[in-house]
Amino acid sequence: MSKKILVVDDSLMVRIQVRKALGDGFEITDAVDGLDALEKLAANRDTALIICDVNMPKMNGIDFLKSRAEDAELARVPVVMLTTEGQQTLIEHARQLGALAWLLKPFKPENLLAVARKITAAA
Amino acid sequence: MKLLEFLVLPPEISEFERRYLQRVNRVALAFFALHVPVFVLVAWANRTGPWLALALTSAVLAGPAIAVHKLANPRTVSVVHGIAAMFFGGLLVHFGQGPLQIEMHFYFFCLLAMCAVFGNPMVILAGAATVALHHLVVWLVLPKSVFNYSAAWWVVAVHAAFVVLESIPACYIARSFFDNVIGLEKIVQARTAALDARNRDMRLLLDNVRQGFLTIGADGSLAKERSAAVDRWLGAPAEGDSWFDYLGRVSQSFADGSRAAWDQVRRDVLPLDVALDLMPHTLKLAGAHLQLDYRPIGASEPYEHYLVVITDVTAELAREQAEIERREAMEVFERILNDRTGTESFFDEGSRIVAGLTKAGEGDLPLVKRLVHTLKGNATLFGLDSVATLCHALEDRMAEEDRTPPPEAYGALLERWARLAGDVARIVGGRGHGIEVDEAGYVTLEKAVRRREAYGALLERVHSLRYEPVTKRFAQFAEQARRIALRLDKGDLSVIIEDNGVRIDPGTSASLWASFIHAVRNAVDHGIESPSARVLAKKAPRGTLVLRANEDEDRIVLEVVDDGKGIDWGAVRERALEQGLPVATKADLEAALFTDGISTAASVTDISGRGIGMGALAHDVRALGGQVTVESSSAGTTVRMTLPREPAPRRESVRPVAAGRGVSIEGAHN
Repeated sequence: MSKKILVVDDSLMVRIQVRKALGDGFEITDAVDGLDALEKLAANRDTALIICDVNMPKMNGIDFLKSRAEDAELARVPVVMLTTEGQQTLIEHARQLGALAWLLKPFKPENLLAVARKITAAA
Repeated sequence: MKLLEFLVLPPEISEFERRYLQRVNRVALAFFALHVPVFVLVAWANRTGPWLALALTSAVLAGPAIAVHKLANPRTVSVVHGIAAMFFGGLLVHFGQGPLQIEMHFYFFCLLAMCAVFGNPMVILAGAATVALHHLVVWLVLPKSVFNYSAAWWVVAVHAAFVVLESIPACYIARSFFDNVIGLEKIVQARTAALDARNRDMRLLLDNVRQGFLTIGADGSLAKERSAAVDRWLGAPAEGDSWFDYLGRVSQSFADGSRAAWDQVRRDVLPLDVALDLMPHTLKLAGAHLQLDYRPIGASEPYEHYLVVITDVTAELAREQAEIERREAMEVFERILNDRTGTESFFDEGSRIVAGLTKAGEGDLPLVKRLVHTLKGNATLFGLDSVATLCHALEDRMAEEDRTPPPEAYGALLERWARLAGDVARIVGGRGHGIEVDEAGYVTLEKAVRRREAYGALLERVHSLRYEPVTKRFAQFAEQARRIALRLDKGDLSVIIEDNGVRIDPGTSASLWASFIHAVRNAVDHGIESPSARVLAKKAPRGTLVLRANEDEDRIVLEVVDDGKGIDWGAVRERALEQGLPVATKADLEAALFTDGISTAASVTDISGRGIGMGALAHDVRALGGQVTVESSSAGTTVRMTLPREPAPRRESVRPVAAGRGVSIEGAHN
């Protein structure tokens, strides 16, 4: 059975790019912001990886990490941030909130796929 | 000569040899000292005079004893020992007179062989010479001191032969002992020297390539070895610096970024090459642009050490930049030659946008997005890729951060624009904005005057000289469209221009042309299919784009017609829903199409896809008092811009046009 990945980004283009990069090997769900992501996660408790943007309307990536950390079960789902933000304090903050890694846009599709494979395989 | 080199050791004595010989010399002295009581015992047993034995043995022992304590050169001491050993042999044979006297000769041969331990053939030779001299002299003077029978001369010769034959291998053993064991230090020294020389060569090589190398530990610790270029670029590290402390001396932010990214490398969450790829690579220093690459050292993970390769890419970047600027300067120059007015209005428009950017400040995101997008479109049209690239980066940033960039983010764009505008001002000079009349236009006008045409008609003709023929613009767009089509693998696009002699006021329509390109780009990027897709759709493989202009009494109608796949209304609907726009009717969807932020493109390219273009076009056309309509089917799309004959200030009233199946979107957008 293919592993579930949740892609959280307010940009449709980014979501499509991520989908393309990950290919057919995963079952991919989209969410447009942090709130949406929490709802989608409620329906998909067996998600293996979350790829999450930082700047989003309604609930941004950092706030999403906070909400996720409050739920013991969700906190076990690995999160990789995918953003253009390179600010040190932000990265550190996300790390403390449990983000596994910090990837930068624009990304190389093969890199994103390699990351998804490694993390979902380790889970 | 060779034999002499073999027998005589090279003069210098290594510390190792000195210590070894001193030790062996002392042991030999102790061994000789033990001879005294033994020889006295032998003399007493054979009744050959123990007291004399004591006196003579002690006298011979004095030689080695003095040598050990007084001679500085341990090799000389060894030679003395060799001679002394044979003297002892002589004494043993003398005091051993009796039935075992001949057996006492064993001593000579044993000791001679043992002298090889000094690692010096000279000791053997000295011993052999001594025993030869001893036999000869004693045989002549005191024969019973050597032989217990009356030995003939040939008996002495047999003894001598034994000595000579033994001496040969003993010398060989001594020398080889010296060369391969005692000389070990020299061997090591020689190897070290060879290695040093190789290291020096290697360093010379490393220090002279245009790259710097250093190795760091997995924990970020700095290895001592690094090539000279590293010090030249980054200065010398302080004692105890980690790689990141070291980087921090030139750029704290780069060091912080590197440290955080290194943490990802070490935590092994990401694939190693991805994590290494995420390390900051470009370090800008005052005088240089450095590129940093990381490579693991070792056969397999986990790696303990990493090689950092630093490349100075300053010259390369400067060369690329100069090449781009040269090409763009040529492009601009060519444009000025072909179309001075158009070029001037392009730069006027661009300068207005750039000024608008600095004025817009923070806050008005839609305005800034539109300005940047329009400038990008214009720049692409003019072949100014450097400006387009800078605009694209700004757009990326705004799309991600959803706020206007800080003023310093415009720096590179403003600088590049100022330089280009400066170039144009220099070439065009202070000649001001003129009116271009070509030969044909002049001839037509002159003929009209000669014909004494009616005043009103003549006035119209003169007026129209101020106007710019749209065909000129269309020709530029056509060229641009073909270029885009090639870049997007859409094949050789056929562009048909139907300008119908329409002219437009260049001053007031500058902004229109700036956003007209969006319609052209959209048609090529989203409309026209690839040749193979077209064949599948039963269309001619070659796409066609029509740029059409028409006019009547009070209207100018511009159309961009493509025979592509039409607008994906489903995607427009999805995007409109996301933005909270109405989607109930077809008119709603068409209105949405002209709203900022709607794009159905799957990827943002530098051609189009931001969802700004059509919004900008609608905005500009409305500002001129006109309107935009769209018709689309699977056979193609027509975007139609209807403008009042004399561009008027923006009108609020809705003025529907009879334009085929088109739907006016003006009302919907307000």
